[in-house]
Amino acid sequence: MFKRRPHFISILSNIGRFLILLVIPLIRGLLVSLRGGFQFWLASAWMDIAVVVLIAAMGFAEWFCMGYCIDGGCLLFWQGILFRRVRRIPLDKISWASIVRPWYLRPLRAVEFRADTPGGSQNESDFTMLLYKSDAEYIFTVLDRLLPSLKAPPFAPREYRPRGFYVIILSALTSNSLAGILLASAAISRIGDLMGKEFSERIYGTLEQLARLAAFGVPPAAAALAYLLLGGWALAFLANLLRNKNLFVVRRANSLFIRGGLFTQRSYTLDLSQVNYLDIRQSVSTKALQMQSAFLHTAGYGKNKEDVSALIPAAHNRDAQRTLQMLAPELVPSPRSIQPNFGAIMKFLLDAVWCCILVPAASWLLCRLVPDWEQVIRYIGLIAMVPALWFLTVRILDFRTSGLSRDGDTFTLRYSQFFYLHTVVIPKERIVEICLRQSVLQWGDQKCDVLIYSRCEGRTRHHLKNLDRKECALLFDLPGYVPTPKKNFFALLKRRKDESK
Amino acid sequence: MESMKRVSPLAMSVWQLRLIFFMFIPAFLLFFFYYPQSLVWKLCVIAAGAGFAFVSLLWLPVKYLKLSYRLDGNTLYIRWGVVYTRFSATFLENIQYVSVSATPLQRIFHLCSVNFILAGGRMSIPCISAGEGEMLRVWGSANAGGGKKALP
Repeated sequence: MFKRRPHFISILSNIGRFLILLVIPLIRGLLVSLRGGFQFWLASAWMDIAVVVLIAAMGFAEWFCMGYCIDGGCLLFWQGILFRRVRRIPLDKISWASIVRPWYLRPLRAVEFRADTPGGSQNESDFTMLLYKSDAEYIFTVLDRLLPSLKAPPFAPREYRPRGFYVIILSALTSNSLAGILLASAAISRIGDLMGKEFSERIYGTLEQLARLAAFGVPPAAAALAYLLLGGWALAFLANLLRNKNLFVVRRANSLFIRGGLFTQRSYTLDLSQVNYLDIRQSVSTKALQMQSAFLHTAGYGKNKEDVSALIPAAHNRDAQRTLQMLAPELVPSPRSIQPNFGAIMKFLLDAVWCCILVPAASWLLCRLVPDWEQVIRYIGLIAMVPALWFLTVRILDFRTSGLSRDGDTFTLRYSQFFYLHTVVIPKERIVEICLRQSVLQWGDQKCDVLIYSRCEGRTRHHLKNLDRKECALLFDLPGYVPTPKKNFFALLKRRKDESK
Repeated sequence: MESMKRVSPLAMSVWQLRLIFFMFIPAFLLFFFYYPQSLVWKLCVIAAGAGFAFVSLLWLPVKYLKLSYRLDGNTLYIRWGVVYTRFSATFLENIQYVSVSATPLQRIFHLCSVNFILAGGRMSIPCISAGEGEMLRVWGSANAGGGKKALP
């Protein structure tokens, strides 16, 4: 059994928790500046210095009282100065582990090590610590060695390195304008904190002037909004590209090893028996290009926004199927066997049709209410029609491709969620609850919506629309939910007449 | 194939009493803030009366008639809902643990609610008899995670 403390750099992260104590010198400085002057403040500066030293000492004490070890098949770690917390995680319960090497910690040979189990918090990993690189790699090796020992036959490792073009496509698909805008505004605000408010105001002013120059006949406010969204998306795209660069996947007997990242390198090991489902995603554009991306869902993996969550970033349909056969042959999708009938088309399209009607209606109404802003409202209304029509297209594709199938003990679900088409391959033992939901309108033809809840720390739902209830009940081995034939009075009368003849 | 089992008929009494209790709150606010016989007061009384009649005479009876459950081999079936009828099923190895709870009103009528906690969800059977609830709890806990035991 080896006992270790975390990397000494974690003293700095520990200090962050005690920075609230800085409120003491701040209040004191405010009171002194009201009463006396600078000389008066300087005479009692010892108190401020004492608080800063106290903060540093508490950070050091927290680091000194923190530690971990591997003890008899368990990862044991402890922390806390006054309130001691000891946690023991069995190594075979760990479904996912990662090593993240940010560029600013590399000179210090420090890495962020995380491990997670199917239980615990939905938002945080069960074990997170800044460790020395050698210690983290040792734990990684122990976990990796443990997984193939679970009665696995000899297995030749298989490697997959996606092409750079596919990584670019994945980064473009997973980029979010809002995330980029938040990133930029946080960065500009931070610069303002460091270099003075005038500096950040100058940056915002420059952006505003650029928007005016590049408006090209469009109202400047609307042009600024459009450029803001475009700029936000571009920043998010760059961040995603740097995260997914150098993606490398290795399939071993019972585990997957995934590595990626350019400046900050991230490594993950996943226990395949803990994988909940495989999610193959397509947007309208990738559907048109006949491409798809595959993501694995397991407890902990992809929890952090900066995590690499893709198994296959983006590939042509044929290449993606071949790669899936190589990396995860247990989770290959099967062809549809149950699909919605033609009469269900409005159930798929109604939400999107409402969006396409309400957006122009709202624009017209706002133009009547606020005529001074008519030009801007018209432009924004036109921009807002793009996602509405995009959503309608997704729903039309969903109607054509939606369905359910089964291959042994693995189910394939095809449905859409917001702007993406999903093909989910889920083993039977990972399905927690099956709900066949019928509205009043669906009673007549015995159709239902299928809601599948999969095993995870939170609650994940897969929603398929308007499938035949009897076929679904038989597919899921639920004979109790096969609908009984309707008691038709006229058929009964005819049968009795035939019997009496 | 066994048919689905309904919950105790006393569930209707519990729900009706709960409805009456909750109606006291808007009634109190209405009496406190508005002058009786004013237009707003009259409209609120009509709306409250219509709402009470709708829930009491239509919603709750339909809810009772549709609420049913069954244990069949290693599968738990629960049917419930009013506007949307939901047929939920889970396999018994997915049950992490079972909890039984009872509000004061349910205890008066010797009823309880059974909650089956799953890995990533929960399923509930409200207002069943206390004896049956305890039996379900013991059986569900014994079978949680895949252990097999016959229902006593």
